[in-house]
Amino acid sequence: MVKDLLYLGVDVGSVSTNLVLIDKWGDVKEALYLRTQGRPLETIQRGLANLAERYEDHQIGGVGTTGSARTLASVVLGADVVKNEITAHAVAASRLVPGVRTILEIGGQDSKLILLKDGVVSDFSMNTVCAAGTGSFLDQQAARLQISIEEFGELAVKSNHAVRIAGRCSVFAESDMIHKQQMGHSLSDIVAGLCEALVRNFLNNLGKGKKLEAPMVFQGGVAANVGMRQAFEKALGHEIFIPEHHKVMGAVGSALLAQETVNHAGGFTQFKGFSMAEEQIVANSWECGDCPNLCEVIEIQEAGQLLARWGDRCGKWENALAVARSETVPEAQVQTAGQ
Amino acid sequence: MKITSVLTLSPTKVEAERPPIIGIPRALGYYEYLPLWRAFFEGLGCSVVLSAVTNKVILDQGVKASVDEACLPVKLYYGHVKALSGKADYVFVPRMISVQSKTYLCPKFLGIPDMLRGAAAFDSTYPQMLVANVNSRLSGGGWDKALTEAAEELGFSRLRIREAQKIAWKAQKDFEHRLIQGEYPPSALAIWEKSGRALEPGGVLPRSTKRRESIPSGGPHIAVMGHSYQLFDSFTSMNLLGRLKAKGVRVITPLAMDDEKCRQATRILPKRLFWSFGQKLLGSSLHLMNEPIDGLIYVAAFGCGPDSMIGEMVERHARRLGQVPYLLLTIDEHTGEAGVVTRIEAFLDLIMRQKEGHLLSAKA
Repeated sequence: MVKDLLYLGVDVGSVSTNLVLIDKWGDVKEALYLRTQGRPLETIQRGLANLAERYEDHQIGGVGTTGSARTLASVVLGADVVKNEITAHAVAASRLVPGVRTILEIGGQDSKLILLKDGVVSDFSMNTVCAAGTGSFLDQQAARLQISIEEFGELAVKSNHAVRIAGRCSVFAESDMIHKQQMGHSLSDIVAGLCEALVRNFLNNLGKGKKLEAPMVFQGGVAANVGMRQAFEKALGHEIFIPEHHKVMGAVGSALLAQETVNHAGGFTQFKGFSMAEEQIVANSWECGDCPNLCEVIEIQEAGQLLARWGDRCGKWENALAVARSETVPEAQVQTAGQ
Repeated sequence: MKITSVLTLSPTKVEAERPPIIGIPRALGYYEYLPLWRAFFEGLGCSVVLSAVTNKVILDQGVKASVDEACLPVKLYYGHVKALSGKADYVFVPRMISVQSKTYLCPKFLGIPDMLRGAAAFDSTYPQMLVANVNSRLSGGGWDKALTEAAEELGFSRLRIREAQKIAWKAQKDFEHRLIQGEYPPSALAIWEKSGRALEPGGVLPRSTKRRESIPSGGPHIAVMGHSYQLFDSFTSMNLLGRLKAKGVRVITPLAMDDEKCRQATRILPKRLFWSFGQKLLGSSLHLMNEPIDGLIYVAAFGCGPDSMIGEMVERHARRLGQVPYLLLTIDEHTGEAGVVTRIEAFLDLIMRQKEGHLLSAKA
C-alpha cells in the first residue's frame, strides 16, 4: 500500500486555490485550479470534494499547505507542513527543472523573483504593497479592451512594434494605454507594449541589483500568457522555460515538502480526511477590546468545536486554545515562555 | 519654578511644591538613552513616567497628528508625546542635533521639537514640552549641556545638576556595557523601564540572569540591522525579534557593536558618513558581513532618508561579498503583517536549507 501513497499540496492564494496530488516520484497525478473568489474555506472544501470522488483517505501520505491562506488551510486539512510560497515555488521548480537558477513568478496579486544556487534559494524578492504588474492588472486591462485573457498573449505575439507604456503604476499605465489607443496604435502593439512595461516593472522592482542567470523558469498564472513570456525573453536575452504545471507550482512544492516532512517524521500524516469537505466549518472574527491594540481575532470552528484562533498580537486567545497544530501554535507558546 | 536646595536630595523633603513629573516618550532616542535620561531626572528628585508601549491608538494618533512625509518612527513619536498629556508636567523632548563629534543625526531629529510645536499650535491637548539641545559639534555641547539646560529650566541648581549627571552617566555606561557584552537589548533596557535608581544603594539591579534566555545554541546566527527605535518597538517591527527568537535564531543587533569596530569597518568607504546612526548601521553591517554569521536582515523605515541610502549600500556590499544571505525589510504603517511573515519564513528556510544541504536535492 505504501507504494501507492500520494501527497496533497494546497496553495490558497488571493485569486486561485490550487490542489495537487503527486506520487512518491514527484509526478503530478491531479491538478485542480480553482478561483478563490474571496471564499478560501469553501474553495478548499470544493477542491477536496472533487478529489474525494476519485481518491480515498488511506491513499494520502501527507499534506502541505502554502499561499496567503496557508494557516487557514492547514487547520481545515490537518497539514503536515505549512510553508511560505517562496520556499514552495523554489522546491517545485528545482525538482521539475533541475539546475534552475532563476524563477520568475507572477500570480494574482503578487510577484516573486527567486534566485537559486546549487538547488538552494540564495536570494529572493517579492513585490511590495503595490500590485502593479500582477495578474489582476492584466485581467483588468483585458476586460477593458474587451479581449479574453487567453487571447491577450496571442495578440501581443502578433505585434511588430510594441509601443512604450509606463508600467510603474497601474493607474498611469492605464491612462497611457488609453492615450496610445487614441493616437491610433494597433491593439496588438499596445498589448505587447503593456507586456513589456510589466516585465520592465518586474525587473526594476524585484531584480534590482541582482544577477539573473539561466536556466530561467517562469511560473504562476501569468506564465500562461505567451506575450509575457516573449517580453521576458526579449528583456533577459535567454530562453525561458515554462513548466507544464506552471499554474500550480506552489501546490506542487508544498506536496513535495509534505512528502519530505512526513518521511522525515516517521511516515505519519495529520491529514483529517476527505470528509472535511462535508464538515460545517465556520470562520468568525471579532475585535478584542482588552487593550488599545484592538486586534482582530479569527476563530475557526468545525461543527461547533473550536479548531483554531489567530490574529491576536499578545497570543492570549491563540494560547487559550490547546490544539496541537504542526507549526503555528508551538511557536507562539515558545515565544510567550521566552518573554 | 522654585530653586530647590542642593541638600534636599529626597523629593519628600521639598517643601511647598512637589518636584515636577517628567514624561519620556517611548520612541526614537528612548531605546538608546533612557538610562541616562531617567537616572538624571530621578537623580534630581523628579518622578518619571513613560508613555505606554506602542499600541494601535498611539500609532493612529501619531499618524493623524504628524506631517505626511515623516517616517513611521517620527509619526509614532507624536503619538507617544500625546499619550503623555495629563500624565506629566513636562515631556522631555531632546533636540538631538549631534551626539558624537563630527556627526549629525537625521534632520527629523533636529526638527522634532519644532514639528511638535507646530502641531501643538492647533491642538491644545499637547503636553508642555521640555526641550534641550544636544549638539556635540559645539565645544561642551553634548548631553551634559543639554541636561543642564533642561534642569535649569526646571529651577535646579548647578551643583544638584552635577550630582544627578554623575548618577545618570553611571546608569548609561552600565547599560551600554551590558549591550556590548551581548545582553539582549530589551532585557537590558527593562531594568530602566522600572526605575532610574537601579544602580543606587538599595536599587534593584538584576544581575544578568536573563542574559542567556532559552535560546538554543544550534540556531542560526542572524545580524538584524536597523534603527533601535524600529527594531525594539515590537509593534512597528511586527515583532520581528520575537518571531526570530521563537524560531531559535540568535540575533545580533547594532547595539552590541562598539564604535571602534564600526569605524574600522567603514574605512574602506571613500568618504566618512556624517550620520551617527547611519555610521553605526553601516559599520556594524560591514563588520558582521565578514564574521561567521548565517544571514543579515536590514530593517528600513519607509520614508527614512538615511535608510534609503544606507540600506542600499549594505545591500551592495553584501552582494559584492556574496557570503551572507541578505534580506531587506521595509516597513511603514501600511505594511501588512502577512508580507513580513512570509519574507522572514522564506529567509529562514533559505538559511536552514543552505546550512543543512536540503533533503530534496539529494533525491532529485
